[in-house]
Amino acid sequence: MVMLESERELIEKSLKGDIDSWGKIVTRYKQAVFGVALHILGRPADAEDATQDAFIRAYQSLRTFDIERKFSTWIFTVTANICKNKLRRDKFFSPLKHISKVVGGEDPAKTAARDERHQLLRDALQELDEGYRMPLVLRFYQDMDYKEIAEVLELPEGTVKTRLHRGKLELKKILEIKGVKADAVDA
Amino acid sequence: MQSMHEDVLDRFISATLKDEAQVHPDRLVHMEAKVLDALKPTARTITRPTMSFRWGLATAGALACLLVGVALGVVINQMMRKPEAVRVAVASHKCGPVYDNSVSQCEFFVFDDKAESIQLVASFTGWAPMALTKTQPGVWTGTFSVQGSGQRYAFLIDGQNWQIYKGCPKAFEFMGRQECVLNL
Repeated sequence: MVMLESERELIEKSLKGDIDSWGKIVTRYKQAVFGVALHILGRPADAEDATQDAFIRAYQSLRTFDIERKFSTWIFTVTANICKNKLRRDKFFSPLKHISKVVGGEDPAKTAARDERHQLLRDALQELDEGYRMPLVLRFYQDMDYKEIAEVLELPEGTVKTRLHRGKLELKKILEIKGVKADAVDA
Repeated sequence: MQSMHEDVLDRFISATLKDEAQVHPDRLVHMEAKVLDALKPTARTITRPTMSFRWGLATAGALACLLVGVALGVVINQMMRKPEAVRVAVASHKCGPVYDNSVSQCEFFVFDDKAESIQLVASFTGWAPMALTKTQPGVWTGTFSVQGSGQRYAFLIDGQNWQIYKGCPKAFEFMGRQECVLNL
């Protein structure tokens, strides 16, 4: 409760032009925003740019934020829109798909190291359509419920449920093609 | 290959995503500074637009009020003004039976309480002005022979103003002048 009040206070101060208060908001949310951007975009450098961009744009349009709403939902909406635009731009200018470094059929027991596990999932996620990837990231990285995901992505709740279900099936298929077994991922 | 259970997959995705996002702390070290540096010029202006926005809104409001006031004033003035005698300006005609050579006697009536004189100018008079007679205050009449349907006419008010009146049938314009058409 105190946390929320303080957040409100920081936003109100930011609205009055106090950018140091906005700095505190950045500190509070940068990790979460970066994580969402990273899992959607797939490249840390792009995620860093998107994070910076999200906080700049959010500040510039802070007047449109309804203070009664949850700030995290709003900042993730801004982030998701920036990521969507970036993906569309990339698709237009470089139609070549991101090339996976993981060779299909490799025994995951031998690639149990954390980096490889990250790479495996990152590649699998990047192979997914962005329409499936975004809800999955918000669900599994941010632990958001359907309603909140629907709000962030500006989609009906039913669509979110369908996309999550289909996205998971797709992801599972991709991971299995890459040779990921249940015992390996459950470690 | 063993197929993955749904809950196993969920745990795998969740754990890996959360884990991976923590792996790049170096990317976020200077995030606040970068954002605030980019915002510094904006931050100075963000307060200014707020003020100018308010001033702009106030000015626009004042202007709107002023305009509404002026418009209301004009309307009230119009309503309060002593009405000038409304110019009654209506014309009509009545034609008698058409004979074998398509000639008919047509009587023209004009009701115009302002005119000093009214003349008929028509194709059937060779556009020569023919005076109407004031039979009553504001009532002018004249009877003329008209040959053939589709003749055109108008009125000359006070010797100079070419005019047609309400009630004249099917007006059309010729060389910038409106004319009435007379159908027998």
